[in-house]
Amino acid sequence: MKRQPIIILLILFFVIPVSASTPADGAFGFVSTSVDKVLTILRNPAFKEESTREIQRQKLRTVVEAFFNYNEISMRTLGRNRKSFTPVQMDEFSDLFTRLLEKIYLNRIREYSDEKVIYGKATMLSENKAEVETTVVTASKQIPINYRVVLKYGEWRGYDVIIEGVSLVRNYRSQFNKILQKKTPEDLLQQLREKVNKEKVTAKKAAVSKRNCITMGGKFCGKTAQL
Amino acid sequence: MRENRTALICFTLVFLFFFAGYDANCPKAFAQETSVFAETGGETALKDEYDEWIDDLEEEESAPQIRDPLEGFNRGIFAFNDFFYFKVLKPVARGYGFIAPEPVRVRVKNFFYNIGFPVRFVNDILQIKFKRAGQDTCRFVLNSTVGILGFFNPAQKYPWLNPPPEDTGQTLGIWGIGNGLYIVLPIFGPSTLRDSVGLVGDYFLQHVSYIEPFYISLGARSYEIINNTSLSIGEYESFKESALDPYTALKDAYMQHRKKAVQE
Repeated sequence: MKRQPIIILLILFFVIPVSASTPADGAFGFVSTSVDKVLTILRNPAFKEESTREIQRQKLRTVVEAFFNYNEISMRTLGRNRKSFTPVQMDEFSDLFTRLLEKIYLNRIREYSDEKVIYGKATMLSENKAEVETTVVTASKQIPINYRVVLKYGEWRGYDVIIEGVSLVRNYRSQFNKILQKKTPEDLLQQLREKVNKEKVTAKKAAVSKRNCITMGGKFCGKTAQL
Repeated sequence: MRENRTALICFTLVFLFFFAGYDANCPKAFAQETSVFAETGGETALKDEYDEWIDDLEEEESAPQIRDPLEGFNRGIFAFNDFFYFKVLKPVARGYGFIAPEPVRVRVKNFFYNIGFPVRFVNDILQIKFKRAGQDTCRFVLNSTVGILGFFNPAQKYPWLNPPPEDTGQTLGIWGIGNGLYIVLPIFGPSTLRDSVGLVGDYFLQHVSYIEPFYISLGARSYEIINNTSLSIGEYESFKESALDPYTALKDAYMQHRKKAVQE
């Protein structure tokens, strides 16, 4: 009878580490469920029709919007330059840049929607930040896509995507720095407006060329035709 | 004399294959590839010490930018490369892609990657990464034999046989030589002073460079570029499309990419 407490302790010793989840697991779970959701929508055969494209786009947008913390991303991309933005300009910047990032991310992942995505390990970068590794395996190569997520108010949200070792946030920061060296925040906003609207036009063009390629019997459907 | 040298090289390869390769789990890969009773799955990748890198935001923000005193000139070369891609390389690669089906082009790419082994191997050694030298040697031997002269890539399945490729530019970086300044090379694209010197080193470490007469060597190199381009059409386009200032975007992407490559 005396042994019982020891046995209980032993049992606890073996059970607790299994049930306790680390913060890295939380980050991993958040990223993998979000990416899986995006891939499920992209692969859904119901959205192959041109008429359902808009619904698909909406659904994707909802998932992606829930994934990223756009405020964090905007602040990080502007860096020290955010001081020269008025609150109104900041809001517009956040909105425009969000739309641009969404498009880039979705276009990129769309190209890989038929490929295999392998989840790697999740590493804590600091006490509330983590990086989750994924690899997209295509016929000709493997593309590492890592997601950086931050835990705020009990929720994980993405703040950067690193494709083949290149951080999107850093890449845009270098461009914005360059532009803001010589131009005003208003000029930058104007460039972003043009970019976001132009992206829309090219998306339409790509949709048309894709439709053409389907009507031509699928002969001219290159990878480039997929947006 | 020549035979002696060949024998020495063979001996070194066999030695590395059995000793360094053993450490790199090479026998395991071979056993799995050659055995009919091969067990699949359940493999865990060897954790590489070089994998561990932490990039903090503070460090990131204070990271020095590459100097670009030749910006005007570089932008000119960048414009030329852009023109060259759209008017020459892409149409040629498209036409070639029309003749050669994708699986063939993937095999050709595998072949060229495989014969680039000396560059990776020598630089592994120069960076004192002996384990990685073993992994690269194992990969080369496996792909050249089981993978039939490197056209197939059986090593792909084993994460520990796919170490990130090393080149001379990275070796110079490991030795503490800074990037110097940013240079855009015609056709080769973004580079730095250090990496351009590295390219010269890589040149002398490739079989292709020693093929006589020179135009066959040049042809082989061009063919490799066309073949690789045909497999990545659309990437440059979408990159350019997503950038506000493509020149700066490419410069930053190159620098980030190289920084990571040197760290690995």
